[in-house]
Amino acid sequence: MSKIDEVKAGVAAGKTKVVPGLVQEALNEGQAATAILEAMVEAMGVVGDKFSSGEIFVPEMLVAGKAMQKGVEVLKPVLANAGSVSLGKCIIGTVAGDLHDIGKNLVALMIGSAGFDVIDLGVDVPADKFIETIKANPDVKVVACSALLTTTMPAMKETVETIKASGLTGFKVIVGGAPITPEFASLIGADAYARDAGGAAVKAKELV
Amino acid sequence: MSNPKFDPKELKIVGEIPGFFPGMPSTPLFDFPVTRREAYIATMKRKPVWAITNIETGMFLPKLYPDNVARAFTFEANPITREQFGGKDIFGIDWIYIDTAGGSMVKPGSPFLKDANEWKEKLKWPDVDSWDWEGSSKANKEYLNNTTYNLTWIMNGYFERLISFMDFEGAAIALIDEEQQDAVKEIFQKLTDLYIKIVDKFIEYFPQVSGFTVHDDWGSQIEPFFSPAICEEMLVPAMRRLTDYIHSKGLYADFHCCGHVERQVPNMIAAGWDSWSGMAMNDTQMLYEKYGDKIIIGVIPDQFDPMTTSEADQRAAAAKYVEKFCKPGKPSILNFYGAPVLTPAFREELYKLSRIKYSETESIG
Repeated sequence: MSKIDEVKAGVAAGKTKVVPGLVQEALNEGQAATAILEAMVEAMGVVGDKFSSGEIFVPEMLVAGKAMQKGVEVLKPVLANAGSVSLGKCIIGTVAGDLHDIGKNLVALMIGSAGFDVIDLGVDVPADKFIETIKANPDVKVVACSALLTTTMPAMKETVETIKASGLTGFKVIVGGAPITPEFASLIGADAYARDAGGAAVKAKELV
Repeated sequence: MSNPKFDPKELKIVGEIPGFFPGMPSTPLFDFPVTRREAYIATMKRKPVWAITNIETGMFLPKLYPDNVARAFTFEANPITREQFGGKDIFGIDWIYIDTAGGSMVKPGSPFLKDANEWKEKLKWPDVDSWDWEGSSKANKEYLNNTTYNLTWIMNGYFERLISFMDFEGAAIALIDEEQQDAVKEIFQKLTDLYIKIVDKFIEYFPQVSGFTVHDDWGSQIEPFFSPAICEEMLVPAMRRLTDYIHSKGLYADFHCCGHVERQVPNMIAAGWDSWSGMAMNDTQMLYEKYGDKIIIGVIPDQFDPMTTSEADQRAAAAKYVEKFCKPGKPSILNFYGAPVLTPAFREELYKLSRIKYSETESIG
């Protein structure tokens, strides 16, 4: 097994303590940082697919994401010298009135693992906060809005409509959460809907 | 004791109970041959008298138990008001009541435990003896003086409690992190000790209580949060000790678990739960067929629109439910989430046909 394959396997298995060392060993072998990063992104793609199919569960996905984060920390100084390999920025938050962060955090993890720089606004985020953050990050590629409560679907609608009516462009809006359906996403003017965290990462990559 | 043969006179309406939530219609009470409590217990013993719906149980969640207040879920003689919803649970964790959700949650972002191994130094276990059991017992004497199956809830179950300590991600990771798993098992066993103490107090001060529901949350809309294997290893042993204890006192143990958790039903059975009523995203009809002989499943009947469905069709729907889900030795409970079909016609037909069927085949144990 090559060192890069070991990195991939380590990420997929959520070996948070092992992955940084493997990444460093791969760098020492002369592997390109971008290739190592790509391998980890691929590993997380497989993790996302397994999660979506019910083969693995939330804890396994979380530890895989954390393992990748540890690996990326080792790569960061090298990647900074090599130029950005980011897919772009993604602003994410749970809409106003909703304090639930489980789904939103999983999506942030998977979108980050897919190669985006995630700006996480947290929970109970008013539409104006999304607008303010988009303005502060004009190069943003994806804006992701999450909701768990049926009662906050109107806030989701208001958020998407506010973003769309703002005149700000250059990014796509993706929505998701337990009560959200593809039909509702379309109705409120979102560009995309994702059923789960793995799907959100796939969809975000398709959008850019 | 034999199951009394159905007499059509039983269909005489002798009373009614108000809707569970404001705005819900009241429910007629027939001239039952046994009390609703006896009927419910007979079902738990798998010797049912009629098909259990939503009228046989009485909720008792007294405000003396701080979790019930924190979760804004009190049912007692003097329930709390909106201003009192939320606050600290029995471990001092703050819960915020969310009006739009009609429930409380711990605001995520600053977990009390960052690692499960911190539990011994950081968790202050509640002094159950210091709660006003005597006062609550006196205050609720009349409230509990009824003929229903009085059910009390242990509001924060095991994983739900771990989430309250660690936030969701911390709790989820702790379940599979080899360096935290032993600590999590210790927390769960210690929780069982605590819950056993609470069970004892309820038995001592509220002898009218017939059973306990433990409230937990194991799944999202789509899948369980954690694998069946992890559930079996981490959660089942501690739960089993609690259900064994409840059973040793001659009482029953019901499990309330949110989410799409069909895959965890074998673990619910292994943990010793007598009954479970899953949410609507679970195929409760399939689960009844598959597991109904091992755990009493709350079945959601095929739904119809009460406004547009003829009375004859409503009665036919009830007959279908009895035929499919009221089998000798394998009773079901009509799931709360299926209650919209409980029209007067459906309810009457369900009662009548299930009485006839069970009185021909069953004796009350």
